[in-house]
Amino acid sequence: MPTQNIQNMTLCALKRGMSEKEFTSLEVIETLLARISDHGGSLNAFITVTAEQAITEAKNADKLMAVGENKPLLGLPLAHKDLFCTDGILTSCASKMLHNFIPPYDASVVKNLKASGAIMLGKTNMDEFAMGSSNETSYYGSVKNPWNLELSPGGSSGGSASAVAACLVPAATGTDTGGSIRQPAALTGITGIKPTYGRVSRFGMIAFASSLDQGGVFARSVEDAALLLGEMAGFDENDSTSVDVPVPDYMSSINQSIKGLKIGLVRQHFDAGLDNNNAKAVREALEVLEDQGAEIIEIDLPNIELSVPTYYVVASAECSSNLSRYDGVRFGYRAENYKDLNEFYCKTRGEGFGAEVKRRIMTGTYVLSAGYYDAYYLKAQKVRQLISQDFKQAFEKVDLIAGPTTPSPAFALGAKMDDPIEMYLNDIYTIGANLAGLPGMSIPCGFVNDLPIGLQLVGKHFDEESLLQCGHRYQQKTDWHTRVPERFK
Amino acid sequence: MYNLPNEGDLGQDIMCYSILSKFTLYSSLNLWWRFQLSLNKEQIKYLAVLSRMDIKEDEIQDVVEKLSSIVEFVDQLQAVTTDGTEPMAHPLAQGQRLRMDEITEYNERDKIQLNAKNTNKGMYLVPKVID
Repeated sequence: MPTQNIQNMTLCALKRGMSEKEFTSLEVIETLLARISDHGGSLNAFITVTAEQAITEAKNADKLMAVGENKPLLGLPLAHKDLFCTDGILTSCASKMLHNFIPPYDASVVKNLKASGAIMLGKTNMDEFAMGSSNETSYYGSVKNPWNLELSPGGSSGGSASAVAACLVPAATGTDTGGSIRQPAALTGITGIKPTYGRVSRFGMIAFASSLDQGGVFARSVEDAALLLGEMAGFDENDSTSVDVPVPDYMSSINQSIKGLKIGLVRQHFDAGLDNNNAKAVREALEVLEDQGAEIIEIDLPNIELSVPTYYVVASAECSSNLSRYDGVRFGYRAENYKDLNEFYCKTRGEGFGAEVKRRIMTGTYVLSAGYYDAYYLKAQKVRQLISQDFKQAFEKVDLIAGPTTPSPAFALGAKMDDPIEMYLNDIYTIGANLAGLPGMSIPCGFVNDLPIGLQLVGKHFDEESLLQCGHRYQQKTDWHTRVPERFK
Repeated sequence: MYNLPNEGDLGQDIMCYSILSKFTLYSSLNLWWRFQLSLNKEQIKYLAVLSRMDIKEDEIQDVVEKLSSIVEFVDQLQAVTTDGTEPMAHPLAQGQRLRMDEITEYNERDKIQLNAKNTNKGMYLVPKVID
């Protein structure tokens, strides 16, 4: 009976196993639900586990497979970040504000994956409203890093990353506004891709910063990420920023050679701030790609160091606007004792939001306030343009940009909570792709102090294919992505 | 000391004001905030009012310190030369996609209102607004 190995299998391996009748979807789902029940608590990776529903769906999937139904993800398990609306299932965004919110509809991402046959095992923990880089701002408590339970898994999609890294589920969705997929993927040793802005629908994805937010996936291989991305991406008329560009068949082109691929290495990424061992691992990863025929070219992104302050103006401004909808009237937390409508709003919001969310709302309110709009918000939008132009110029010379995903490996829980700037600087390499709307991916490329680190690849708009081909080729030649933390083997 | 910005540079909220109130706003707020990057308790309380969010007295000092460090941090943008640079609002420089004004949704009021704590006959109830 192969059930002992099910937990370590990729989606593609599970798919093969089911089609060759080695095991059923029900066996897969039950094995993983048992693991979630054994280990989910120590990691705090899940907010909600949808066991009953998953078992019913698995039985259904098995019946469908028996009559020859062949949906791309039929019977395959995954988890959703608790920021994607799920019809009839708690969607909290890890906030007290939404601790009781039961959406009346599915997010388009959830709907698409469901239509492809995927089975949801639960909703994963995250930073409150996706605001954080360590998963410590969750109303439901911090998520732990499976490589060392004293450490942060990164954030904001830390629950999804932790669950995939600990083999509780082979893949999970996430969202990335400034690095919230790529940074936790790097810190937990898995693959994470944030597609081009507009590639994946934001409909039903609870908004944080609308011009930066983008849904994506975590998986234990690039091939799995390609499989899932192909199913969740695509034009959606319900999202006014969705882009009507055909989604290529990622699985059919993933084995393409990377001979002649021009990969840019950003000089500024190797300045002070990057851990030496991290830098060494990234350079070694690039040598692997060079051996596969890629050409490494040094490039400059002169304004990239401004990406973090630019991001904190733009994202906070958009957050203060987006989060004004939480007023306690129509859904979510509602304060109890109040004299009038104003006090009702102030108490509801004061009690419902956590400290980091309040800070960002106030920062946003400040940069948008009369007299400060020009000095901060408009200025940041102009600097955003400069950063975006830098990328544009770089992509005239290269096909992809590679570098570190984070400055260092996972840090201790609590280590950066008192210093928001230090926390924000953890996203220094990832934010640029969000500001410019470019696709980015992190793949495991080695270990520093026994902790995984990531190689980041950033591509041209809508060229997820090159990222996937390059990442897949790298994973054919290395085995970093197959490593599993000792206690979760 | 500071220049009154061009009309085109202004946010919509500011454009609603007359030249006089605009000037008053700029002179008061700019002098108040621009030359002292660290915020004080009163300013934090004012931002909390604008954000309709209670901040407890014992939380304020922490918010003052952290928000001041954030404002100081983002202030480095001021030194960047951005003359002639168009502000970027959308990563793909796309316009707003429009559709015909047709009914595409069916009425799900009852299902939607299951999330509300206080409703009556399909309406949301809030504290009395007008006497």
